[in-house]
Amino acid sequence: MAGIFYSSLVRAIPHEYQSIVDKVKTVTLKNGFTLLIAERGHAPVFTGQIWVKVGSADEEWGKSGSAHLLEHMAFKGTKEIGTTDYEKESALLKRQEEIVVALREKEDSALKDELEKVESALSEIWVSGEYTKLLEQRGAKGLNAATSADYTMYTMSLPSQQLEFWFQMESARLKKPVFRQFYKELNVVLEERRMRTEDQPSGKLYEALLASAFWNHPYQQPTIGWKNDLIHLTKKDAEDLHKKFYQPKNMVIVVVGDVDADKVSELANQYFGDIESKDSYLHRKPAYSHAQEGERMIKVSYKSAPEFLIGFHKPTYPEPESAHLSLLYSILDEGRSSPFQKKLVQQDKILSSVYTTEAPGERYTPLFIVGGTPSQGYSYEQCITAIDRILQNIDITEEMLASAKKRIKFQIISGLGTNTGLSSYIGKRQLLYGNWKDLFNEIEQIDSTRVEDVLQAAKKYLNKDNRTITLIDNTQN
Amino acid sequence: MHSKNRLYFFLFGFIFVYGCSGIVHNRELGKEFVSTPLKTPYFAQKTLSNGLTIYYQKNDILPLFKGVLYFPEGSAALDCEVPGLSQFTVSMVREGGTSSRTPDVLDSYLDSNAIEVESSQSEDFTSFSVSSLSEDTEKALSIFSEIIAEPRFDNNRILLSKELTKDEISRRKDDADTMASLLFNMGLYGERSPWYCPITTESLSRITRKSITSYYNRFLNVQGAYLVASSQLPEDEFFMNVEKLFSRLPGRDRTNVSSSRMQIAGKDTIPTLYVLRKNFTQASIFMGQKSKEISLIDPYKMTLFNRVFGSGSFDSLLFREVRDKRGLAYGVSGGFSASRNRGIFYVKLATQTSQVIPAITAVNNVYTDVLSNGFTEEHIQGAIKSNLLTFVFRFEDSFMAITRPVLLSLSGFPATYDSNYQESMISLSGNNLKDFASKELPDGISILAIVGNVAVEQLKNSDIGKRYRICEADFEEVPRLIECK
Repeated sequence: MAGIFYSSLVRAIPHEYQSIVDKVKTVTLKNGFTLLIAERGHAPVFTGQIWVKVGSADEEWGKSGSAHLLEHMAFKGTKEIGTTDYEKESALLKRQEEIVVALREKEDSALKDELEKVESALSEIWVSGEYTKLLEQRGAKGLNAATSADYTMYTMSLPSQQLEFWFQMESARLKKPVFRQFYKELNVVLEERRMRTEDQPSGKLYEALLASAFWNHPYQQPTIGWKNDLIHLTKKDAEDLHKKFYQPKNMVIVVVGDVDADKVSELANQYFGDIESKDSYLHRKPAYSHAQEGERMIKVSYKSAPEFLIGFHKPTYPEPESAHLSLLYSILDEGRSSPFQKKLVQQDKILSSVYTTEAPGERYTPLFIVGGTPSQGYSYEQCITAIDRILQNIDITEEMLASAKKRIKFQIISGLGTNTGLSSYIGKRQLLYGNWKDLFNEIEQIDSTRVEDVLQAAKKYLNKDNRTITLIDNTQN
Repeated sequence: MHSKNRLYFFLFGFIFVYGCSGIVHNRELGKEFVSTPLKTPYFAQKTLSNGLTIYYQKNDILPLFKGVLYFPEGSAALDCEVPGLSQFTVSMVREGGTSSRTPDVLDSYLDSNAIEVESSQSEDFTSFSVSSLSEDTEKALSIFSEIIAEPRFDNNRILLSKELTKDEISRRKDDADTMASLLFNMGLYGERSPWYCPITTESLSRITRKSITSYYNRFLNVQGAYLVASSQLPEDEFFMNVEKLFSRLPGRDRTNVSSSRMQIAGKDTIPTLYVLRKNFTQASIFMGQKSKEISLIDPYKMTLFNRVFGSGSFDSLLFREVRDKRGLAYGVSGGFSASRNRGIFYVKLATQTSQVIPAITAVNNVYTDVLSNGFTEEHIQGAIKSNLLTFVFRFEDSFMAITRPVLLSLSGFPATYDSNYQESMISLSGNNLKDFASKELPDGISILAIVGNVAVEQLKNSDIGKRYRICEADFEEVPRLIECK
C-alpha cells in the first residue's frame, strides 16, 4: 500500500526537466492502453515504442525463453504480411505443430518425412522478412526489440510522414500475429544463447548467479532461456503467452518526435481502440520473499581467465533504500577516483577490472552486483576480501555524496536528449510504475538522501549473509 | 575570422504510397515527388590562427555541454614498428594527469564535477571528448584544454596501464570473435602492417615514457583539426573561451605527413582458410578480401550494395539466406568498408560448429549469385527507398548533424557526399550494382578465418578444402601460423 501511495504522489519537478515534462501528454484509451506522446525535435522524424509488461519473470516453469522467443516472432508477419496464402499456411502450420509435438514424444520416421514435406510446402508460401522489409522501405531505422525479466519492448524510428503507417503495422502484428518459422527461429535463439552465454565466461557466471541467488523466484530464470527448456518449446507456448499478456491494460504505447499529439491520439484510437481487453494477464507469478540466510558460492567450470560476480539482494523502487543504494554504486565505482577503481585497481592492483551494476529487473527485488577480474597472482579470496574491506569501512563525505548526485543527474539528463532515449525513460516507468513521472520521485529520493542513509543501506544489504558469489573455475578442463 | 554558416538543404523526398486498399493486398507502388525542406541545425564556425576549426551550436534544449576534438591522424599513420604505441599514448593523455595535476588529482576533479573526458583512436583519426552539465561548461572546457595541451604522462600510471593492458591481452583467447578478427586481419595484411598491428606484451615492453612523449609531441598538431561543441553558452562567450584556451595548441603544415596505403591483393593471392581450433560451442567466422580505399570506389554504389548485401538491414541477402531461411546464425553481416587509405570486403558470422560448412557455403553462394545475377530490381528499389527515407535521420540529433561533415571528411568521403546523396541514390539501378559487384568482387572471397572446435579434416575433404588452401594456426597473444597445406 505504501508503494502504491508513494508512486501516485509526484513531487515538484526540478527546473532542468520542466522543458521535457511540458511536452509529454498521457492519454488512456477506453480499452486500457496507455499512450504517451511527446512533441519535440527539429527533424521530421519520430520514435515509436510498444512496451508490454511480460518478461522472463512471467514464464511458466519449464518454459523459460518463451517471452524472448515471442519477441522474435513479432517480426514474422501477420495473416496478410509474410505469406502468399494464409488459409493454406494455417492448415500446414497446424499440422507442423501436431507433428513436432508427436515427434518430441516418440521418434517416428514416417512423421519425420511428413514434417519435411510440410516444412517444404510452408517455405513455398512464406514471404520471408516481408514485415521488416515493408518497414525498412518506409524509412524505418533502429528497428529492434528487447526482452528483460520485467518487460518486452519494441522500438523503431521513422520519418514523420509514416506515423499512420507505424500505427497500421504495430496494430496489425498485435491483432493478427502469425508465429511462422517458429522452429527455425528457435535455432537462431539457440545460436544467440551460445553467443551470449555458453561461450562467454561473464554470461555463464551471470546465469549461475541468478539461478543461485533467487530460489523459487521469478528472477531465477535466464531471459534467453535454459537450453533444455528452449529445445522443448512449442509454438503454442508462445501463442499462449501472447494471449495472456499482450493485453491493452498491460501495454504502453510511446510516440516521441515531430508529431502532432492530437493526430497521434486519433490514430491510436483508430488502430488500437478496437482491441478487446481481457484480464488474464493479472494472473502473474507472485514474488516470494526469500531473505537469504547465509552466503552462497558457486564455481562455474570453464576454461577461461578468472572472473567473478558477487550479487547482493537489494530493494527496488519505490523503497527509498533503492535510491540510497544507487548513490552508493556511484560513490563506490563511478569514475577513476572511486574507491573500487582507486584502491583495488590502481593502488593495490588486486583487480585488473571491477564494475557494479543492478540486475535482472526492477519489478521485484533485484541484485546489486559487483563484478571483477583478478590481477595475475591474486586469488579469488584475496579479491573478495579486499572488496569486503572497502564495503565494511565505507567512508562517505558530504562532498562525495554531492558529486554522486551530480553524476546521476548528468546521466539522466544525457539519456533524455534523443527521441529514443526519452521514449525509453518514460515508457519503462509508465509500464512498471503506472506513472512515468515517477522518474521525478526517484530523483527526489536521490536528492534527499543523506550520508547516514547511504551508510545504513550499505550495512543492511552489503554483507556476507545476503550475498551469492559465482566464480570461474578453470582448474578442471 | 568569424563567419556564420546557414546551410539549407532542400531535399526532394519520395513518398511511395501503397495502392488504394492499404498496405497488404495491393503491392503496386505509386510514386509522389514531394519536396521536403530540411534544415541542418544552425551552427557557428570559426578557425583559429593555429588552424583549429570550431563548429559551435548553442543548444537550449537540455542543460548539457558536449565537445569533441578530432585530429586527422589515426593509428595507420604509424608503421608497425612498436605495435600499440599510438593507441596507448592516446589513452595516456587522459589517464596520465596534466602538468599541474597528478592523475589522482585530475581524476578527483573530473569525478566530483561530473565532467567526462575520454579518448579514442581509429586508423584514420583520433578523438578526445568532453561532456558535463551546462553549469560546468567553462570548467570542462578549461580542464579539457589542459589535458590536451599539457599531458603529464605520469610514469606510475603508464606502468599501471601496461599491467591492465597485459591482462586484456591475456583475455583475448577467451573470446572467439577477437581471435577470429585477428586471424582474418593477419591473413589479409600479413604480419607487421598498419592495419594488422596488434599490441603484445613484447611491444608493450618497448613503450616507454620517452617514446610516448616523442609520439605525442609529433602528433599534437591542430592544423586541420576540428572542435565540435554544443552548450548553453552564448556564441561569443564560447568562442572567447575557446580562443583563450586552445590558441596555444600548436598548428603545423600537414602536407608532408605520410600515411600508409594498403596494397590491394594481386591476382596471385592464394585463397586461404585459416583455422584456429578452440573449444567453443560456436565457431566465429570472418570471410573477405582486400578492396579499395574510399577515393577509388563509388561511395553511393558501395552504400547501396552494403544495404542489399548484408549491412544493417533485415532484408539483406545475407540476413535472408543465412539467418531467416536457414537459421544458421543469430548475427550475420557484411559488405564493403572503405576508409581513407584502405578498404576491405568482409562477411562476419557465428554459428554452431556442426554448421560451419553449410554457413560458409551459403555465404559463398550468395556472393557467387550476386556476381552472376546481381540483385532483383525489386530488392534494389526497396533499398533505394529505404536509403532515401532514412536520410532524414542524419538531422535527428542536432549535434551529430553538425559533426557529420567532419566525420565524413576524416574518413575520406568526398565533401559533396551528403549533398549529392539523394540524386545519386535515385539514379542507381540493378545493372549499376551488378557492374559494381563484378568490378569490385571479381574473384570470389579469398580469405577465411575460423575459430572454433572445427574438424579440420572435414574441412579439407569438403568443397571448401578443394577451393581453399588450409592453414592451421594457434594462439597465444596473437595468431601464429603452424602449417599450411
